[in-house]
Amino acid sequence: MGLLHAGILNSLNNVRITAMAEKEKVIVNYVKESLPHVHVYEDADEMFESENLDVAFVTTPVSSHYPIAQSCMRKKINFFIEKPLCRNVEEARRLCEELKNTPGIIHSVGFNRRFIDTFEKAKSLLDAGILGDITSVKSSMYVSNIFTKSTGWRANKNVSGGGVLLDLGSHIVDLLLWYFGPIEEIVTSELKSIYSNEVDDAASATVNFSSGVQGQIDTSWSVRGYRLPELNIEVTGSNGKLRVNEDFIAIDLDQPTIELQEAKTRIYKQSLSTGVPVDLGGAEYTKEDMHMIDCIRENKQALVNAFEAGHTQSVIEAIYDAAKNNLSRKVEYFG
Amino acid sequence: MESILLGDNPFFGVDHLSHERAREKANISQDFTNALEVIRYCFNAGATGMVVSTHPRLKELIGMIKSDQDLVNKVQFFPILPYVQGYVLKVNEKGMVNTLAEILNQASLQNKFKIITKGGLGILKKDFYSLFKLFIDIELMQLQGTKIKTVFLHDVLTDLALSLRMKNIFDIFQEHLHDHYNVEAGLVTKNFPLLISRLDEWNLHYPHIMTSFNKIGFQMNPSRIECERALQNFDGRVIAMSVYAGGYIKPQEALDYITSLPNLNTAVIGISSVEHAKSTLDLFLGKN
Repeated sequence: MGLLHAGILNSLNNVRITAMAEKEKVIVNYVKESLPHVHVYEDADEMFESENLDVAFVTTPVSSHYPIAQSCMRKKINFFIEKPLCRNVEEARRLCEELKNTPGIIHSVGFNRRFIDTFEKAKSLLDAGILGDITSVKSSMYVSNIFTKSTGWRANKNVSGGGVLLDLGSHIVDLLLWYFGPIEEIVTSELKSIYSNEVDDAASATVNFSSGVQGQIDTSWSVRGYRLPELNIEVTGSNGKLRVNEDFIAIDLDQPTIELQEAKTRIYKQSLSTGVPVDLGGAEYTKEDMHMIDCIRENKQALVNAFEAGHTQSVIEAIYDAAKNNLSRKVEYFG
Repeated sequence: MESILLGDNPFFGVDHLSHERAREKANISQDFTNALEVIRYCFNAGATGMVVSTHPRLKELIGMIKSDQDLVNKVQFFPILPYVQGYVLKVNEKGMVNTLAEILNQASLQNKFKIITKGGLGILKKDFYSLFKLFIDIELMQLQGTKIKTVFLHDVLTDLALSLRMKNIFDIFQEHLHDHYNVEAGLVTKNFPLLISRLDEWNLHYPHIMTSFNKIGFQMNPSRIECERALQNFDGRVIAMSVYAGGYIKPQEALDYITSLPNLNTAVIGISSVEHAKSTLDLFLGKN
């Protein structure tokens, strides 16, 4: 992820990559040889001490997010952190408290689904009220990744903080909070470790939103047939249904609305997409990085800032807790 | 169109309009008998090559093609590699050392010997170029015994190298393919104007570029107009991909647009059945 963000940033107007902190020898040697203008450090703190940075992009394993964010705050450096924000809610709460005491820092967290055209468009349609009163939401995110005993950092709970619920499930929760507001209670939840010893490979939960909407969440990285990660949200309201994923929005309304003249329609990503200055692995990454740079230039808070990511972390922790104790649980937000 | 290359996505159930539809197709595509019939039809009807990208079942498909000597003689392959995302996922799942050991395990005896004499796994952990060349060699092993026309650098690596100004990647890719395989090197990109302007700046000659061209500007960055302008100024061969914008545009509309462009006479088309092959090739090769 670090190289991907570096490539995008290096191609944007008036953005210059000046330094990189990296431990992997193959990348360190390559960057030293091929990008002589980039100062390479093995330690992030050493980099922050020596360089005069406008922003740091933190794309390291989750266990280092909080300490690196602390270093950024100490040096008053704006930061972008790949999702999830932290390993657990305690780290996230402390990070957000420290941020409140360090005004002027622009911060963003990599919940990039918000920058995918279909999910953005669905947000505007839902906000316009095309479905009437929303009653229920079904959501899922799957990918076919883990089918053997995993030995990388993601399988080590001390480094990753959790399994698929924290990794993919946090994307779902971020979108659900963005679309429908706070989740008040986890009614039931279940975790399964199929291939991993320390973390969950599949997770599901039933939740209640403060608005009264009922929701279901289901995620796994050990299901067949999902070459790429796929996030689906199906919303039911008094005027029909809307289903959105990375590819399309399918809408089936009882009555057309001002925003949608056709009761039954499918809006494909192709009709929504626009070019980006450079595309490396998906326009959403470019849009996310451009948004961060714009926020710094205009001194405004980012769309997905650390406080919002902290809310997502609170919901994830409540789901873990409810599964562990086999009880319903209220979500405790902080900040 | 002067030349049509057959894409491999439909044989593996890859569908750019909808992943959901892709899963349904993947269930149907488990058996490659239909794929072989389509490939035979297309090469008898005038297709000039086949574009293949790394897929877990590619070796199986190539194996079936190789069992038909007539096809082996007719099909020229245009592989796209290496599949970097797959290696990155493996590193996340298994760690760097285990991933490298697994990669090395797939290498040819000759490659293993070369790596061991240079210092074993340690060299791969430190030297990006050795690793890069090993990826190419391992992925090309699947195509041994077939005719390879041009090997294309996967867009993920082309565009990453482009954006980070890693000129060496482009040099080494071309050299390695020339010196070890005696085949031409090409590039796949989602950033065509930026690529050709940088190749020009570096004084690098890459005559084969595969990139998206379609009526609605899907995956054409930074814009359709900029890509059209770049095409006019490019003196190499552009192979158009995503001509249907992932299934969003009708064939006639797709053809009308790409034939209206200068310097564009080759397109990659995904074909899923013999009926589909007949109508598509008749249309694109002007047999109607």
